[in-house]
Amino acid sequence: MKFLYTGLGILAVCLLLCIVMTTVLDRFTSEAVSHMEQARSLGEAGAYEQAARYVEKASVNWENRMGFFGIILPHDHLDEVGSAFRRAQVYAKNANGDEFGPICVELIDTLRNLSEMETPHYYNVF
Amino acid sequence: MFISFVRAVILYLFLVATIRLMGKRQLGELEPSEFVVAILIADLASVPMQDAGTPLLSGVIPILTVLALELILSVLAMRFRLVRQVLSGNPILLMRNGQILAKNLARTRITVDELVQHLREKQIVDLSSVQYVILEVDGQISAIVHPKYQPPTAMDAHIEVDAAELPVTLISDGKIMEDRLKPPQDRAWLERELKRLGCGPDEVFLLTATQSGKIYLSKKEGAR
Repeated sequence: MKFLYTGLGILAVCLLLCIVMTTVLDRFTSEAVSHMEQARSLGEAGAYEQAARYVEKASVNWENRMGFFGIILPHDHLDEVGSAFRRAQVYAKNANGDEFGPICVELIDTLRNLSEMETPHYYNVF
Repeated sequence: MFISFVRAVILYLFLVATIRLMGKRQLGELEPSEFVVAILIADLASVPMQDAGTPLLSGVIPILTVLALELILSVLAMRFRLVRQVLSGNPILLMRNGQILAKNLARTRITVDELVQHLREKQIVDLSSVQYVILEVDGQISAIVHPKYQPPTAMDAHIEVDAAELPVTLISDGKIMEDRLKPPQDRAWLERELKRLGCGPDEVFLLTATQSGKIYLSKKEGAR
């Protein structure tokens, strides 16, 4: 019975770890998405300074959580997001409306995909 | 490179612990589910080991999950015959009293040439001397020769023989295994025997003793 309890224990720990990590990832990415959506709206309204602040906030939060993200997400995805944040900051600072809008959309989609990738939907499983 | 090195160390130790937790089995005696687990675990570990961009957890979590399922299934197989049958199947008789059971052979997709080869490997060339040949659940083939073709035993010849004694290793590579010294083979006895044999513990590569005091000694090369 020792082996049965060990097996069940390991399975329970793995499941719990997956649930916790998925929940935390979803929370972090939702926060970043929310900031970027705010930034995008402000950019569309021409308030690039305020938009830049939201992008900065999202970027700083993202950088602060890189330890967590690095443990659970593929690193090339993280590099992609980091690069997109830096570009968004530059476009916001330069008030480059032509590039800022698309980069915000791209970043929001990427962040949503990162979270969605880890959720146990049937289309992810199969 | 450094990342790969560190990950290789971590994953190697992790895999050793995982396989150890699975229990002692020789590779050739793995049942189908255990064989699958062994291959799967090796493959899962290689992905984060080779690709530094893949999180270590991407290998660790699946390996732990597979290990947990294997432990659970092995316990269920032990307790429930149906589970055992589903996972491992049943042994299949391939020969009986010198006769090849062709239907069973076809079922197992073993050719006659393969069967004869397996028997040859077991030093059996006369098929009529075989009483049973069984394909075991782990894929091994067991052959039982008819008693009349087997060499006589001490019991057949009505000869009294002593029971076999299990030797215990007392010195290995110069080091005395203190935890194995029990009366009558205690420390004082060992020292007396070593004195009688004319060597010290550091000159001994292997020394084993049975309960009745029979000693096997192999000295280190270069020892006098």
